[in-house]
Amino acid sequence: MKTWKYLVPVAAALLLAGQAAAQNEEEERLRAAEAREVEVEQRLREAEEKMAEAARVIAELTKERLPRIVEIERRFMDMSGKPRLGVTIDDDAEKGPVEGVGVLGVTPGSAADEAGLRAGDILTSVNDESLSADSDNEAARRLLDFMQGVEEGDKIDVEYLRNGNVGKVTVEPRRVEDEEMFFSHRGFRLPKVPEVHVAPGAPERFGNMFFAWAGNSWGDMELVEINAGLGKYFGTDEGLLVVRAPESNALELEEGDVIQSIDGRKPKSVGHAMRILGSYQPGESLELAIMRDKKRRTLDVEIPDDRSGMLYEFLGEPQVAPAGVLAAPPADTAVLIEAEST
Amino acid sequence: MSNTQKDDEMICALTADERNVLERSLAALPETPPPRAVWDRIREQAEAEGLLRPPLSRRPSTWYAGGLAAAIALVAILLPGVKDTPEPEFSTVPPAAGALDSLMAESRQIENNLRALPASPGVMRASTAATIAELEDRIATIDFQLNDTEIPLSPEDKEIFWRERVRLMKSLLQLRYAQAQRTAF
Repeated sequence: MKTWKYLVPVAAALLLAGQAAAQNEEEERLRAAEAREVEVEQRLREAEEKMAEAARVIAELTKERLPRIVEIERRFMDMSGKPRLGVTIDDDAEKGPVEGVGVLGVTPGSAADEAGLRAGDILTSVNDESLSADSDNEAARRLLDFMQGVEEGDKIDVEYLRNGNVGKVTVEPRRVEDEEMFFSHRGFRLPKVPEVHVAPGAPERFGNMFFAWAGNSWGDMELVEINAGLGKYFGTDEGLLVVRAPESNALELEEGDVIQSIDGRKPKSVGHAMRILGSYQPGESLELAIMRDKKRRTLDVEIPDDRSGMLYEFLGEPQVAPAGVLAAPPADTAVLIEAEST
Repeated sequence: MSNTQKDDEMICALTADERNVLERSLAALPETPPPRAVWDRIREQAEAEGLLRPPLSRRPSTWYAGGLAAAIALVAILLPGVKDTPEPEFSTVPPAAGALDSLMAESRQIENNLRALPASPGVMRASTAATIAELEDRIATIDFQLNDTEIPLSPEDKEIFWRERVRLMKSLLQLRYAQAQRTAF
């Protein structure tokens, strides 16, 4: 009995010590796992950033490669008031008779894309008007003539053939605000450069160059479209919630703010907000209408001259980096100057 | 007609160019295994379009663990003409000049791959959203020109426009893929 009197507390103490050690070990393991997750998240964030930068360089290169692009962009903007379907169509005068208009490509992010139309589909009718014709060319003309009469907000019933099966979708063609097209407002304009660093090994002659925008003070911001569920916590169910505020205070935004309008324009998506913000030149002012702590506020903001980018020179045929390769810039260009305002 | 016969017919319906493009696209995918959600969407898309037969039993963990190499091997086995080749080699040669049909087929394949990715994530990084918008605007301009009867394109110019369209679509796919990897993590 006496032995038990000592053994029980000792056993209990050992048990508790063992549990504490196991608990410590588990906590340590969780901390390490958490740290790993943070590190991977950070690396993926950097990879996404590099990929975006490489994509921007490729977009600039593309512009240089396309013949008469300035004329085409101007015409595109002149026509921006007309709602678009967002498809590239076949117009082969030699091919026919045809059941409808062949879709060669669907513009990403367009009304046709969102409605589910695909390259390879044959559009057989629009609002019950048949598109069958003696040639591809004639069928394409019918569709283009039909689109001339479409106004913003109109909904079109499109019937199509896909792998021999009939399908039907409703598409609401959209017009493009010309001032919101990315290529229409940025142009070639170097930011104010307090100091330039010529990359090692860069050629001395500066001919045939182009500037690729790399970012600005709000590029690191993260946003989400607010919905009714989130709305009850933020006092509104419309707008873009700032999940991660930009490190720079240029836009005066804080985490938890909801952007409701930018100079009176309501952003419909994060991409749309970026199109609107990107249409302002450094030094211009704008009004950001936001909700902060469930209260309406207006921020008067001046766009800072803090854009950064790089100057590149064409060295030959542009090549796309293979998928998964994150290195920027593309292999066929030389980085001449890293231009960054500080 | 059995499902298998139907699947075979759909696979045979691919043109040689489309098959080349499919093989190239698969070979060009990153070697890192994609996030499970992304891979599941690609697999479902491929099955729906008859490029992959649905497996007899679903074993998602195997799909994920097997990664992309297994997927490429599986598609290679199912593709007619590649079926009996012990070690299939994927062509990495870009389409020859003048191959407008190849460019169109490649563009179509990239569109399929884009659709197979998960929808754009809720939370978006501003600079990524801006770049995606820029790529989409440039593709929209090209598509506008390809349909514009006021400024007709010569066959050579048409090929340049399609080549640049493919280039931009590839950039868009890579960026959307990088974005999906981060958000799926």
